[in-house]
Amino acid sequence: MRLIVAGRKDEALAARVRDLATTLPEAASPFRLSPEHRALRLRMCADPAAFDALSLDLLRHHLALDPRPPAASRPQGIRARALAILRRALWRLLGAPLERLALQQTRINELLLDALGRIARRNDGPDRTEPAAKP
Amino acid sequence: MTRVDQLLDGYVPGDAVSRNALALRNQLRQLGYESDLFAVSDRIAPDGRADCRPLTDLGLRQPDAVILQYAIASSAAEIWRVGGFRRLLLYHNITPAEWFRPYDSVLAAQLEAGRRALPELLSAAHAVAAVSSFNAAELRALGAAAVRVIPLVCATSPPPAPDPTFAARLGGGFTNILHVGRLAPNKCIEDLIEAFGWYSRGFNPRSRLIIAGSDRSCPRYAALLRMVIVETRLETVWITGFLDDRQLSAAYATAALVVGVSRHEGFCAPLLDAARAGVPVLARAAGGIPEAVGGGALLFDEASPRELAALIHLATTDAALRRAIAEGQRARLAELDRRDIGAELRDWLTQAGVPPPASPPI
Repeated sequence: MRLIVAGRKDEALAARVRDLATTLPEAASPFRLSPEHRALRLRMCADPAAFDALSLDLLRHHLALDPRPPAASRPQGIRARALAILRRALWRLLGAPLERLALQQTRINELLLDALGRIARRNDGPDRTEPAAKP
Repeated sequence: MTRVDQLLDGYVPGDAVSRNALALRNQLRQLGYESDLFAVSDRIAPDGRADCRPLTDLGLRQPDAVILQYAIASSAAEIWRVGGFRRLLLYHNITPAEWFRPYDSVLAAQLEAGRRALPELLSAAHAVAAVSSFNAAELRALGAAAVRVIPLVCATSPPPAPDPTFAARLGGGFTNILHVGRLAPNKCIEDLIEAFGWYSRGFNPRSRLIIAGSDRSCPRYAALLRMVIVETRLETVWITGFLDDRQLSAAYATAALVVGVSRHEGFCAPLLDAARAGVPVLARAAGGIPEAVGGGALLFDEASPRELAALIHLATTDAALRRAIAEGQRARLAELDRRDIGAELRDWLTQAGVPPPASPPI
C-alpha cells in the first residue's frame, strides 16, 4: 500500500495504517456468511441472466428475519445511557410478539422467493433491461 | 450572432457531464455567443427541461459550431458527426464495458460502441479537448494529435446552502462517512461497505456510511450493494438515492470524511465538491482522480478492507493529517479558481475555426 498525502508519498503513515489494521480483531469482520454464500460472488457473473439466477439463490440465505435486539453500542452521557436501558426493556417486553411477526414475515419471504424463482424460470430468455440513465 | 451549441446524450441536473455543459453554456453566453444545450429527448430529466432542449430542435437553430460532450454512444454523436457546422469534441471518458457485463448487457454494448466510435468522431472533429490529462492520453493513443485539457468547469462553483431538514436527518452525534456518485460497478462501493464494517465494529460504532447518488443507472449493481448491506448486518449504512444540490450540500456539511474507492474515473467531480465544502477526502489513486484532486486528498493505491478501515479511522481522528489534507485542498481550489475559463474556451473555439461573437461580451 502506498499513500500520498497532500501530493507527497508518506511511508511512515502507510506503516502506521498497516500496524493499526492488524489490531482489528477477527470479531470485527462484517461478514457472517461463508465466501460461497456472499453477494460479492455476483460480481463474477458472466451476464445478467447468470446474475439473476445467482441472486435468487443467494437470497435464500436472507429469508429469515432476526428479532434479536441490535448489537449494543456504547452510549455516551447519562441521557443516552438511560435511553439505551429503556430501549432494551421495551425490546424484552415486545420479544414474544416480535418473534411471531418475524416468523410470519419469514414465511411470506419464502413464498415470495419461490414465486420469483418460478417466474424467472418461465421467462428465461434474453436480458431486456434498458439503461435508466447515462453511465 | 455566432451560435455555439452543445450536444449531450442525456441531461440530468446534478450529473457531472450535465453540470459541465450548463457551466460551459453560461460561459459561452458571457463571451457573447448564443448558446443552448440539446440532448436526446427521452433522456432529458423532467427537472432539466428548462435548461436543455430536445435534439430535434437543433436543426432549427442552425448553429455555427457544436460541442459534443461525449461519454457514451448515442444518436447525439451521430448527428454531430455529420452536421454542417464546426465540430468540437469534449471527451469525458467512457467506462470500460467489462465493468457492466454482469449487470446490464445493453449498457455494456452501448459503452463498447462508444469506444468503437471514437476514432471516427476524432477524425470528424475540428478541435478536440478532454476533461483531464488521463482522458486526453486515451485520445492521443487513438491518434488524436492536438488534444487540449479543459478540466470540468462545474468544479469551480461554490456549494449552495444546505437543506436544514436533510442535515437534521444526518445529525445525531454520528461520524458520517460519505460516498458521492451514481451507483455504478466501476466505483467499487462494495469495497467501501466492507471496510466500513471493519471500521464501525473495530473503531467507531457511532459512525454512519452515507452512499449518496442515483441508484437507477445500474439497478442490478444497486441490488448487489443492498444484499451486501443485508448480509453484513450494518444498520448504519444508508443508500440515499439521488440528492438535489441542497441535500447534497447538507450531506457534505455533516460529513467527517468523503471516501472514493472507484477503480475507473475520468475526473471525479464530487471529490472537488467535497474540497469546496471543506471536507477531507480519502480516495483511491485511480484514473483521473490524482489529477483532479491535485494535492487535496489522502490517496491510496491498494488497501485491504482492514487497511481501508484503519485509513478511515486515521483520516477522521488525526488532526495533523486532516490539516495536511485541508491545506492541499485549499491549494488545489486556488489553482482552479485562477483558471480563465473564458480564455480557454475562446482559444479552443479559435482552434476549431469558429468565428468570434458578433456582439461584445456581457
